[in-house]
Amino acid sequence: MGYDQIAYAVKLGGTVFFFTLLMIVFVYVFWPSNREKFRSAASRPIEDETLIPPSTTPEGQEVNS
Amino acid sequence: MSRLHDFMEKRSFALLFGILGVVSIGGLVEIAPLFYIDSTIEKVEGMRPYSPLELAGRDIYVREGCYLCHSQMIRPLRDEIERYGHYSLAAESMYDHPFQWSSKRTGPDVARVGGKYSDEWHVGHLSAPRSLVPDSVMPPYKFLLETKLDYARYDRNLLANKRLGVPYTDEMVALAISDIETQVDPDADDFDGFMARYPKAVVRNFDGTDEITEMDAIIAYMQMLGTLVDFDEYQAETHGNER
Amino acid sequence: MSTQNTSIIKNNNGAVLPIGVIVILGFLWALFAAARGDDPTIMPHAYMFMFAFALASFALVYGIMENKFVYDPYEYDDSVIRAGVIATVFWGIAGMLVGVIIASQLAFPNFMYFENMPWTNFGRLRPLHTSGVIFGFGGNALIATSFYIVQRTCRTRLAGGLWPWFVFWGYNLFLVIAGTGYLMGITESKEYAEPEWYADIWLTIVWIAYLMVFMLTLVKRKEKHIYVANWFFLSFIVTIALLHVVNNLSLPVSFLGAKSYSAFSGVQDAMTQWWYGHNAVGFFLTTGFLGMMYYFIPKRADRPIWSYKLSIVHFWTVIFIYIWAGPHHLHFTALPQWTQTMGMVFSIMLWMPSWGGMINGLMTLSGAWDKFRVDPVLRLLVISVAFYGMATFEGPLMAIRYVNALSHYTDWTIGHVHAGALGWNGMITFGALYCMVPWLWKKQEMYSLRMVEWHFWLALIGIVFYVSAMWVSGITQGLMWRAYNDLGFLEYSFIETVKAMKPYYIIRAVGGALYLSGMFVLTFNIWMTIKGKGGAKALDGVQPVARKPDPTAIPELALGE
Repeated sequence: MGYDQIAYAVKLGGTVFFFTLLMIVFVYVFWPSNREKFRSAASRPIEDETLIPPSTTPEGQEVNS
Repeated sequence: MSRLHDFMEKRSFALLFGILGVVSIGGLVEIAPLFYIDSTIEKVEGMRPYSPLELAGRDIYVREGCYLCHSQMIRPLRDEIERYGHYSLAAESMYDHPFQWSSKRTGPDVARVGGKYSDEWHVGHLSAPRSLVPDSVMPPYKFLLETKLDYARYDRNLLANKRLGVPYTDEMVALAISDIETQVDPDADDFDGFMARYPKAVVRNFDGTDEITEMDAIIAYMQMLGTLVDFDEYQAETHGNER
Repeated sequence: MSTQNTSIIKNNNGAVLPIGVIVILGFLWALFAAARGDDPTIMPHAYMFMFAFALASFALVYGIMENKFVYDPYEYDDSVIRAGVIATVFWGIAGMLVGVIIASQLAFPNFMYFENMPWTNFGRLRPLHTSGVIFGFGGNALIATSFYIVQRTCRTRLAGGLWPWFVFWGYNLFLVIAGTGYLMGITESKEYAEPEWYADIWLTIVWIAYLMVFMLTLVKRKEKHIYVANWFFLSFIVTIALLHVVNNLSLPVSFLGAKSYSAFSGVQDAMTQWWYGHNAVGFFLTTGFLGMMYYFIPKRADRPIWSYKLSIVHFWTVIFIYIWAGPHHLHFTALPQWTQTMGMVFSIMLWMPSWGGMINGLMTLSGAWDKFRVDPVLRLLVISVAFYGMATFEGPLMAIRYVNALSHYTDWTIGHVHAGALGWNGMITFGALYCMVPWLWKKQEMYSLRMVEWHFWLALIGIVFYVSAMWVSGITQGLMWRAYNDLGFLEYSFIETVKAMKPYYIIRAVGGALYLSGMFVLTFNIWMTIKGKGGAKALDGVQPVARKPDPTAIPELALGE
């Protein structure tokens, strides 16, 4: 494979891939139902810091959630 | 689309593989072709593997971190070509495991330093740089003169390079230790055989002492840098050599 | 918070067996290398490994017998983070001290001049400086903050029990092996990946454990959505694993000896190295530290992230684009032109997502800029983001081929790197430490906020000295190399361009010394905080989180302004 073919393939493939990735990300971030999730996530660090205790069985084993 | 992302973030392993996928592409596209496009490395005459003593010198060059201040990559810019010589070719470092192009020139480029200075100059300069170059900021390497080269099992180093694709022959590996002794002794019995194995190699008592020291090795390496390719015969415009 | 259920005490004994197996196998290898190895250079490392692994085995057995590995599942796992904070400070001082030493050696070549002590030479000390600050200081800070943040934002205890401790000790053992190796001349010579094959294998084991601890903590999170800081940390951990393994592929001369030869040669080796080297910057020093930014700035400013959407967009674009930018380290070299061009184009594209991060960090302060004025900790965090913005503007500029023709091989590169390292990585780490230390040791505040103020100015002035000296020296030397006289000859010999650097090298060493002195101030402040002196009064036990900074509560600082 020569220089020109490589350059062509990379430019085309790279552009298409990058554009697709960007579109997926944009659709995701502007999806209406995600609005509330992002709003609450943005304040995650400043919320109260308590650990949510693991649910426990009598043996003291943690239940995977 | 949104479902895909929900899937990915709720399942942390999906996020992991998403990241891996996105970051792998750049490396694959840029690195992988270098291994199979023929034009990556030019076709030149004269390149050969390092002689055992030169390779040992190169190991010392690596060990002492010379690459942190000296480059071995002359760029095709007018001033660099006038200062250092013909711009460096990929072919000239094709047997370099690892490469020593470097990223900083606190000192000058050494890609073509071979033959520019005498052995005595190198011994004096490496031992006490400011005795010869008053404004130099180079550290001293006097201990190289006082350290005997440890080459009792140096055939293994050639073998490792051979396994990585450097075209050492079985004969070269077998004779590695005697070749080290031959290269510091122009009267050695196997002089002709050595020169046949490593054309253009310099055979001299580099450091002027009776011992084979690390100074012998590093100077043997310095004196061959950039001397292998004959640029009178190099066809820069040939198809495959264009950059 | 402890509740009525504290009677449920769990233990981590399950992790002892797998860790023990790793430790014993490592011990056996070290024993063989010490007993049978015919390479004298590996001996000190063989003994160090044996000592470390013997100590670890003893600790494991002792812990099991004395039942030391118990924990309270209603508490976050903070002990390993406290250790990480101390290691960060230790390596920061060590790495920066070596930096000041080698800067002084360039300014005054007879400083630490010993003609028969190779380990005092610049060539052996320089990797100790770079690894000490990047992997020692930065790496420990990243491990500590990532463990801190992932627990809080996932509302769950760190996964893996003893494994986080394995990560901490294993990583610091790697650093000791790497650092002592450089002094003994054990190096692969690949910048920022110098440690030899056995240290690389050890780091790979440790790093996989780190990835698993982080991943499994995410898996057991109590929040549905993974907070964006963890995306950045995850991309840092997994990409560094990939880069480390590929770039360090090499063939040892003997499996009981130190020396190895890189699997790649020449141009392929160069490309692999700078794919690694650039993305060590991209994923170690950028995305990892952005993870810190996305937690500590909102936390300290008491504001939500300005735009969560922007954080997601710039996350994916940053990680996609960064990987391509490596070849800009190889402009005008023997690397094929198409690769160089690609590196340049992506480097310029990288400017935008980088600034997306900067804008998001800075704008998080909107409506809270008064805190920037009165809280020196927040100021460290915010100024670091400004330096991030500056460095990520300068980077694309220097990646342009014809700018690079001038800047490459000169001190301009060194200046650029330090604008990022001292300004961005250093200052955000200081800010994170000043936030975390009172929270981790359950104090109300740092011992002295006025000392934080001092640290801020020492660091800032140090950076200004350092970076401006390197800009001037780099551009001066680059121009001198290509200067021609009237007759068409090169005007300067090489050594004349070295001589011209002397004043800038002195200024640089002074800047570095100022920055290091700030590090000493930090150390003292943290030490006094842990001891509970000054403002570091103990919390009353009800509230497990240090109080958030309140401008009205620090009147002496408000007046000081």
